[in-house]
This record gives sequence, C-alpha cells and structure tokens, in this order.
Amino acid sequence: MSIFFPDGLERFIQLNRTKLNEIRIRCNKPIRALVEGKWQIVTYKGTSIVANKSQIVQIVKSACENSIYAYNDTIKKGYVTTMDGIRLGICGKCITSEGDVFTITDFTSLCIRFPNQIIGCSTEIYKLVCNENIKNTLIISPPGAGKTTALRDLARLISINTYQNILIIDEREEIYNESYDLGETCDILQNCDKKFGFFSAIRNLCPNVIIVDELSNENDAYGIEFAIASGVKVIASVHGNNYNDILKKRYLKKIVENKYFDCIISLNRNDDLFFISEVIENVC
Amino acid sequence: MSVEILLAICLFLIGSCSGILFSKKYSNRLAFYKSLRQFNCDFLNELSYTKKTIGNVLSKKYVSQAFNELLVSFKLKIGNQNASELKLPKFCNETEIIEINSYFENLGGTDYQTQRNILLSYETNFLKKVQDAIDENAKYGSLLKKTGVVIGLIAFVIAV
Repeated sequence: MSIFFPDGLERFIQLNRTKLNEIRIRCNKPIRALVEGKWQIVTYKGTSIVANKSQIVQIVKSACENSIYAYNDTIKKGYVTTMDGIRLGICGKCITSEGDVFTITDFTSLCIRFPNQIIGCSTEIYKLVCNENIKNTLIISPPGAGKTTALRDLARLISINTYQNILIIDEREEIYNESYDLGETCDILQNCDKKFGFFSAIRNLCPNVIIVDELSNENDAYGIEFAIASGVKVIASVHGNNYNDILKKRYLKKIVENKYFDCIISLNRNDDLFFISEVIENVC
Repeated sequence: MSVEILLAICLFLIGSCSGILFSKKYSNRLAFYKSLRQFNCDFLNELSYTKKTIGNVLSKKYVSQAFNELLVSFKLKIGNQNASELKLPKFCNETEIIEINSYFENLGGTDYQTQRNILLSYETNFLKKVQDAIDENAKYGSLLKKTGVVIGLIAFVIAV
C-alpha cells in the first residue's frame, strides 16, 4: 500500500523524488514543496494544488497503511514514518487523557519530509570525527539542514572504514530503511525511545559507537552521559544554529561544559546540501 | 438399457443435484460467517501482539470464496477513495449488509484499545451468526437435499 496523494501531487513527487526535501500541505491552501533547498508552489495543469481536509485525513490514513492502531504511538508524538522512511509531521486536534496526548485527530496540516541517502556527503565530517580515534561528537544544525542525512552517511563511512560495531538509535525511523546502505557493522534500533537505546542496548548489543539523532530532553542527555561513561563513543545531533545556541539548552549545557564531547560541529544549508559552518575541537 | 431407465436415472440425478444446489446457499452462508469470525479472531491476535497492519491480515485466505472476494473489495476500497462498494454475497439480507459494512468501516480507524474493544464486541455477534448459520444449514440445507433426492426418486419411479 502506498501513500495517497491528491491529483498531480503524486506525479510531482515522482518527477522530483531525488531532489525533493519537504512538502507542506495545509488545509485548503496551496501545497508548497522544498526542492533542492528552494520553496515552490506545486502546480498541476497550470493551477496550484490544494488539499482539503478529507484528503489530508486520507494521506495520513494511507501513510498508516489504514491501521491507525499500529501507528498511534507515533501519531500522539506528532508524526508518522512510513515504510519508505518518509516522515509526516502531523498537525491537528490533540485529544488528551489525564494530561497526556492520547491521539491527534482532525488533521489540518502536514509536513512531509523525504529522506535521501547522499553517498559521501559526510566525508569532511568523517575526517573530523575519525581522526585516529573516533571522537564523541555533537552535530548541530537547524531543522532541515541535513543532520539526519549527515548521520546516515557518517554511519556508513565509519562502518566501511573502521568495522566498529555501530548502534544506531533511530527513534523516529528516519535514519535507516531497507533501501539504504549503511555498511556491514551497523545495528539499528528503531521506534524505541533513546532511554531504552542507551540503557538496555549498551548492555545487550555491546556497541563501540552509538549514533543518535535529535537530542531533545534531560533523559537524552543523561543517556549520553551514561554511554560515554560506559566507554562507548557517541555521535549525536541536536537542533540549533551553533555552539552558543546549545549552551542555551539547559539539558545540554551540563554535558557540554563537562567536556563529554570532544568535537562539536555546526552545519548549515546552502542550496542543495549542508556545509560545515563551525568546528570546535577539544571543547572546553 | 432401455430409454425409460436412462431417462429415469437422469431425472433422479437432476432432482438430487437440484436439492444440493438449492442447499448450497446455506452451506455457503455457513462458510462465509465462519470465515468472517475467523478473520475477526486473526485480526485480534495480530493486534494483540505485534500490532500488524490491516494489510498483513488481509493477505490471508479463508475457506469461503465469497468472503475472500469481500476482502479483495475491501482492500481495493482502502487503497482508493473512489473504489466501489464492498462486494457482499447475495445471501446477506439488508440488516446483515449494514452490519458487515459497519464492521469493515470500523477497521483500522482507531487506536489500539478502541480497535480491540470493537473487535471483541463483534466477536459475540459473529459467534451468534455462525451458530444461526449452522442451525439453518442443518434445518433447511439438509431438508432441501433430502427433498431433491425424494423428488428425483418419485420422478424415477414415474418414468420407469
């Protein structure tokens, strides 16, 4: 089963699949697409494509393979990741129960992210991270700049060059899908929270390196501390523009100031790919 | 063998086959409801452990051909908003058509706990349907078969 898209949008996606980064669908508004770093309105036969509410619901249902129950754990966190690794960020009405979000219904807008594997895009990062030994590294970048793409290629490069056992904690199932080549020594733990990844998988899977995307809370920072103190190298990513930004995040400030990371790399995006905008080594 | 005896045998066979043919409605109905109930159980099992998607459950084959055709039409319907209605067998009455449509409309649209409750609530209903179909098949199905054989025999005697 594939994702349902309104007339014209599916054709647009097929034509631009390799260049496409993101599509924004808002109820009764023109659909916009980010292609090679540039936003454009998606048109079909000369007119802009507009999705109505029922079409947005149909897109989400089809992305869930018409099985909301199988995806509700991620829906209530605001996203659905399809088998192809396409991630739908969902906006709608949150239904709460005892203070927690129980599910999201009445979907009104979607942010659809299309993953790409760009072989070799992290070669420069690899040279910084794997100089003699693998360094504990934090990669900083704003949303959409290419953190996940960078981590994916970095995992592949470390795997094929060092044969270290790499554990990828892929909480949102974005880093890996079956069509990607990540080398021969990667173990992928998907759809689990980072707490489980750090505290259980370190014992069970004995990784040399852990790669983890989007650190976002105290638990993640605590997991980093635990992993590094356990002798495992960690390469993690976080949202931000630069080193100063992450110092504003309380949960990260402590581990950065306590020198858990040997190297901090900031990425930014130009037209079609990220570039390294800042490197801080021997963090102090 | 004389022509009369051949004709009598033919009449007997026609009578018996007609009985079996008319009783098919009841055996098909029984197979259909057994398959529907089995599908509901399979779905509950898949749901409880691995939370597999509907697609995985729909790929299974069941005893009833009519039920398999219904599943194919359901698969088409969920894959395409504009697809036609569910293909329901002719032996379903209006109430049953509404019930079955409602059952399939409720599949996949809710969270795990609600989905499980829905399937469990239908389980009792389907069990009753299977029991009714067994009773009908025993009552009318075998009656029609016997009637067919008796009519065939009478025709045989008259022809001879």
